[in-house]
Amino acid sequence: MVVSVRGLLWRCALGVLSGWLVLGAMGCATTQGEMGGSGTASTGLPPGLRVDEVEEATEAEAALLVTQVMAVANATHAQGARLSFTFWNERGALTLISFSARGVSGPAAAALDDDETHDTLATVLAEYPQRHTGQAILTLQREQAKWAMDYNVSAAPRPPEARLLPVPMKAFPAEVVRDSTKRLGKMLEAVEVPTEGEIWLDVEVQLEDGRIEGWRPRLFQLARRGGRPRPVSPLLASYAVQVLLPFTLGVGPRTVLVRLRLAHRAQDTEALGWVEFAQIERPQSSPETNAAFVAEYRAMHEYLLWKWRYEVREGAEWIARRGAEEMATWYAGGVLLRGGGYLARWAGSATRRALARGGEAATGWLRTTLSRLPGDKKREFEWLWAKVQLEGERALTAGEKASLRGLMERVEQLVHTRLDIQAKKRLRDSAREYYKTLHPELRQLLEEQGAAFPIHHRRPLDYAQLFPAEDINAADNLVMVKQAVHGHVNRAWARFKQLRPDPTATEVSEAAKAIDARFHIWYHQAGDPRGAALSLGDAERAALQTLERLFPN
Amino acid sequence: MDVCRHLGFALWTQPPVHAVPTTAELVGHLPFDPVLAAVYSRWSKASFATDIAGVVLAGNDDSEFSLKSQSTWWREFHQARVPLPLFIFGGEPLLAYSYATVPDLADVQGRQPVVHVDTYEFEGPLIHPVASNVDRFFDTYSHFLEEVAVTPEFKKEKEAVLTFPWDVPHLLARDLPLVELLREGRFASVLPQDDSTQRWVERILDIAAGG
Repeated sequence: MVVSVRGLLWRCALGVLSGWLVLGAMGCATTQGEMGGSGTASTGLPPGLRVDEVEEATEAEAALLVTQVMAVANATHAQGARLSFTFWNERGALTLISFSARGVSGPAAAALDDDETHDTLATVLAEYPQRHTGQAILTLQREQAKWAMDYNVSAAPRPPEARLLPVPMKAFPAEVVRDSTKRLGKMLEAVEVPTEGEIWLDVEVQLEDGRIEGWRPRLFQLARRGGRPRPVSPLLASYAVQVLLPFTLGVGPRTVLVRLRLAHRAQDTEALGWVEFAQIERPQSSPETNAAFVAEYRAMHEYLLWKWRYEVREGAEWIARRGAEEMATWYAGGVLLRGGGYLARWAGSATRRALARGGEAATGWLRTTLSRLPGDKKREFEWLWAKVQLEGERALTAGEKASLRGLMERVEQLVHTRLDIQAKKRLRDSAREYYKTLHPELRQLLEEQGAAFPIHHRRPLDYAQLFPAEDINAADNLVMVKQAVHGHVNRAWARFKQLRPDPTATEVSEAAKAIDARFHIWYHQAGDPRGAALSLGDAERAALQTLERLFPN
Repeated sequence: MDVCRHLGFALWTQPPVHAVPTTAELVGHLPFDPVLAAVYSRWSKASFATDIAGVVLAGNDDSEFSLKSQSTWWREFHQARVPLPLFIFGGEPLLAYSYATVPDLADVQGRQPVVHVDTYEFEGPLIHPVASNVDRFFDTYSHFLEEVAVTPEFKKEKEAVLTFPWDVPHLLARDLPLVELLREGRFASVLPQDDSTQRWVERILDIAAGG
């Protein structure tokens, strides 16, 4: 119960915005909307965004996709050719999931009216997505003198890369188009097609948010033998990039597998080609990862990217100005999903285990652990993770990478290290501030009665290193007690320490349970509890007896 | 108080309700600290900067956190493990850290040094000297608050990332009578010794010596 209160409080700190995003993400992950096609576009908007700017972004995105689909269609002339674009649609935010082209090598159809195709496509993409949430397949079928279009809604699970917000882009960044064309062009320069032969080539393109992080040829296969080798037309790279660009509008790490079909015809000097299909391949999520937390993280990450890209230009500095609590989910999710490389040598890393739990368990753990770092190191940790998440790991300098690695290892080491009195004091300060947020009604008591009601860790800080993946300052580990209660409880723990000077985690948990059983009626009580059958002295004696029975000398 | 007002920290006082007590009533036949006597002649209770960490003075009243209740609590749970009597006059809000004077180490004017008392440790209280007298304690604490107020975390989120006294040994090292007491080993002879106490003393002496 207390945990959920804590979660609620932090979510209040996040504002209603993330709630909207989370509901959007979670609704699709857990309700009928999961299968798509049957959802209804909501009229609700994130409070952080204005209605007009989201409408404007929706229009801009539709226009951008019209241009992109037209670019692909205009390069396809065969009668009967069929182009299919599968999107995930979220209130007009269209994330391309897959593309396929069939029948594109047939005889050319008659010339067609580009304006008519454009207008039809603009109507479809501007209006149809407003009517539903879920998967949609846009199909263009080349007829003799026009492209026939079809927009079908189908049931499918929401893919993790799907956006919740439309992007207000008028065009894809010129440098992305140029660099991609160059990279693919270079790869294709190494490929040759037999005269009148045919091959296919699979290319992997690694994406992270809107960035293209890498290219790699995966598979090359000869489909039809032929004569002497022929080079591939440089036009193919430009065309394939047009297919690829809408995939960059997704969120998170993913790979696009692009299958290129390359064929040489007798009358040509170069081999021509087309994209047979392109589809997203997703990294496998760890089974212990909390899916709801990842969805919450992704929603927040997308929103922050949106703000960063389209509203402000100060990048990581803007993020750094956000409150630590506001950003807790973002940092925790980012470290969980992107920090693996930094913790590779830590088998069974406590950081990973803690963050994989998600929710308050993850954010609280990170908050508590970072509070053990000196202020400048904590700031550096957050700044570097903000940069990694917004600009990609490649944006880090060698020095920054080394610093981040050092900080990640330091965090991992910290939670396995016994706390000294200074570290304990720091954690108790954090525990007090947190307890005050849980119990704002205690403000007056705090000011008037001060140390009369100390915060007590049910599982003591002395043993925090035995539970490295748990948040020692979690709400359910903190209780306020009267000074006298604390004195009696501490005597019980002192006896446990005599009985087990070097205990295991299990022994500590058993001791905590035994002590709680005797004293819990005094927890969170500023006055004397009603109906207490035992005095504090009796409770202490009973606790000591239990401990001596559980942990005989 | 001026520093609290200037920096906008919480400040709370209550007018006197009882006459200033004598230590004899509370901890035996020892003189009451004259600075504390002056404080309690003005207020029955006061708290400073409780919005970030702060100090709450035990009340000269009948409340849960009173000079009397603290004296009783200290005697019942902790005094037996400390060689000389301590007089608990305040504490940190919601934490088992107290501030106490050491009557046996009073200077010629009767002013008693101040120690920070950590009663969280199972083996017994940890005691760390923090000021040569109550006046100096408030002076040092006010400088601590000033240092908290200029940290980026406080400016951004009103978060206190410094802890008293651990992050400000340099402020304690400015208290020359305290440094003298430490150098002479006066605390060493009367307070329970452990590694942390020893390291703390060495740290302050090192800074005072220009280290």
